[in-house]
Amino acid sequence: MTFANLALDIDALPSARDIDLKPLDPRYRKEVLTQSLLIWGVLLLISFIPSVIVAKPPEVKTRLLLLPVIMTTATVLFTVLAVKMAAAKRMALRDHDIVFRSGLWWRKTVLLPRNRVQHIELSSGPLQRKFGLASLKFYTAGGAAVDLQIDGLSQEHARSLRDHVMQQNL
Amino acid sequence: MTGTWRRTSPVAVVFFLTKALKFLVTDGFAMLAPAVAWFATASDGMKVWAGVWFAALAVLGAVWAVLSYLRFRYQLTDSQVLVRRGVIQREQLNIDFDRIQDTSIDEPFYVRPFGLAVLKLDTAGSAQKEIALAGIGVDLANQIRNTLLRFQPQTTDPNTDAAETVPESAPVLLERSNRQIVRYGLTANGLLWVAVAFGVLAGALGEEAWETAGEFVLERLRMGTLLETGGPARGLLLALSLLAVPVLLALFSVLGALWRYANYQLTAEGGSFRRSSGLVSRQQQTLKGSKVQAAVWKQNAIARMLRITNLQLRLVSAGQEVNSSGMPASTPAFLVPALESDELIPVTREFLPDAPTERPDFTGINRAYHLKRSLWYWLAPVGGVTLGLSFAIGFYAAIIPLLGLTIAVVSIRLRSSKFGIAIRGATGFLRSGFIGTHTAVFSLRKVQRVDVCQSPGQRKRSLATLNVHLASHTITIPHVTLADAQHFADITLYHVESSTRSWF
Repeated sequence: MTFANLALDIDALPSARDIDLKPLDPRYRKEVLTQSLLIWGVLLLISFIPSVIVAKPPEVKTRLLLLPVIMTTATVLFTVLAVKMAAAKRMALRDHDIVFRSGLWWRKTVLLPRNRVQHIELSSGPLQRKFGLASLKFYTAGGAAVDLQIDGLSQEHARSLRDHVMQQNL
Repeated sequence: MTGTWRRTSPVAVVFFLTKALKFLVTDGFAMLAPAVAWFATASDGMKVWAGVWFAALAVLGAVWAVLSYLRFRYQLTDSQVLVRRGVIQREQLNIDFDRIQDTSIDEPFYVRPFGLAVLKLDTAGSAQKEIALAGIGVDLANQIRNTLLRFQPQTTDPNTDAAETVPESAPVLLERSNRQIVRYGLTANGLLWVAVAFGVLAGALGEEAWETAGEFVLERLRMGTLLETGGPARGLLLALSLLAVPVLLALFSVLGALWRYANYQLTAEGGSFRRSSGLVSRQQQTLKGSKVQAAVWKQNAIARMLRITNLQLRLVSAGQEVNSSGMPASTPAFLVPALESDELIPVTREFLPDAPTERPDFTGINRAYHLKRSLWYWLAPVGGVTLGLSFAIGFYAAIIPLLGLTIAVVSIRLRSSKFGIAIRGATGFLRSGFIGTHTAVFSLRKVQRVDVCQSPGQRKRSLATLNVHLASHTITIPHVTLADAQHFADITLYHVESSTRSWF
């Protein structure tokens, strides 16, 4: 077995810092907005129930209306947050790896070499399909957890990305 | 696929019996403990029923063992091991030879007289799918082992596996004297913490408490004759029994180490490594060098005092759904115990040929920020205890936060000084620890994924947390400078992406 250990010019290595990261599909923000409003909307409706079923003292009834008020605030807050987080996600596909950055305050950058990808899962739920979106899950060896999940990709983009990464692996 | 299903020797029943017993002692312990307590306190009439219950349990175990043996079949094809097994739910396993990363041949004392052995095969799959061919001839076990190791898949790159043929006489890389194994036994982790806890407990409780507790214990033991002699002898007895606990634990730990690792011998056969050891049962564990994902240098406080390091080889881990206890899921590791400081690097280089010839200098983390961050975790417990105690003992409770914070600062400092990252050539080193250290040494090209994470506070200070995912386990180093983290990630990616050698 021949083995050479060449000295690397470390400064000449491509750095993950200088990558041009692209935001995800603009429809993804809409999808997140819809999803968030749907879930919180249901919770908001439920929060009316106590004040409706309490029949008698009207002052208690009014006080119970505080619940929907709190719920509305939460709805606005969490929906804005969800959309902002969706907007903050960035990704880049390089020759040899996939770079994915997420997080508003706690920021995380995942560097996934393409030749370490074991398999890829492509999925799209009913809401995602409505917006023409899909999710890609990348798995590597060791541990059963998903290594990288990218939610807001257009279906065509997700499919071509999957085929591209898998083709190179062969 | 042709071939006949073969059956193992009936001695395998004993193997399955020990397996059932092991299950009962380890997993069934919680279930068993109240039963034993009940048995101890039950009246005589009830004792009969308890006896019946235990007998039923024993019969159940025996029936399970016999059925397990009867239902177990195996056969070998050109490239696969096939196993059919299962008492209630039957299953067939097909294991490709080149997926097997670790084999071991055990000769427990109960199969040895029959010239039999237990061949265990470990795949990169889940731990539940571990395969043991119990009660096959020793010669057959060796023959299967050699077949597995010599097996070359047709499609691999000739550069990677060409060296992996097994010569007839394997050179001995390393031998451990039983004295060294005793020292390894002393470094068992549990022992350390029990000893520390005992020291603290013995100091914290006053004499009176001990006497009351002692009286209670002795009364239970009904050691009437000794107790007649009165106070001083009683105290002495108590002190002795107190001392006995850590000593006994140390003894057990050393015996356990000797049981498994006595007469330790490490041999290399081409690209494979073999450990043979064992006091009563001989054990041979063999793994392919190319399957090693990382070598871990483990040196806890006791090992540090004894100036030894234990080296553990990590293989591809089983995956998370297997491990119910939330522990880092990894297959039982291949261990090289009690390495002296001058042996550590040469032995590591046997497993990782690219590793450098000397220890690296580690780049540390931002200790001030680590202290600041970590103190938050201590705030709640220290505050809670102070508040609680201030109701009970009043003014003196003020000592608690002072004491608690001092302990916190000292231990956080100890921990932060141990974190370190280093790269030498194509090898990465990630170190963590508290009093001792835990250093993962790995070929950079075997890394699966790298994460660089930043909290808001870290972003202000240009710090980052580095997560390096290996196929065996994940290592997290907090609060390194962002530049260091990115540097580590860039070099790692370079090696992963430019390497054409298989990582598995």
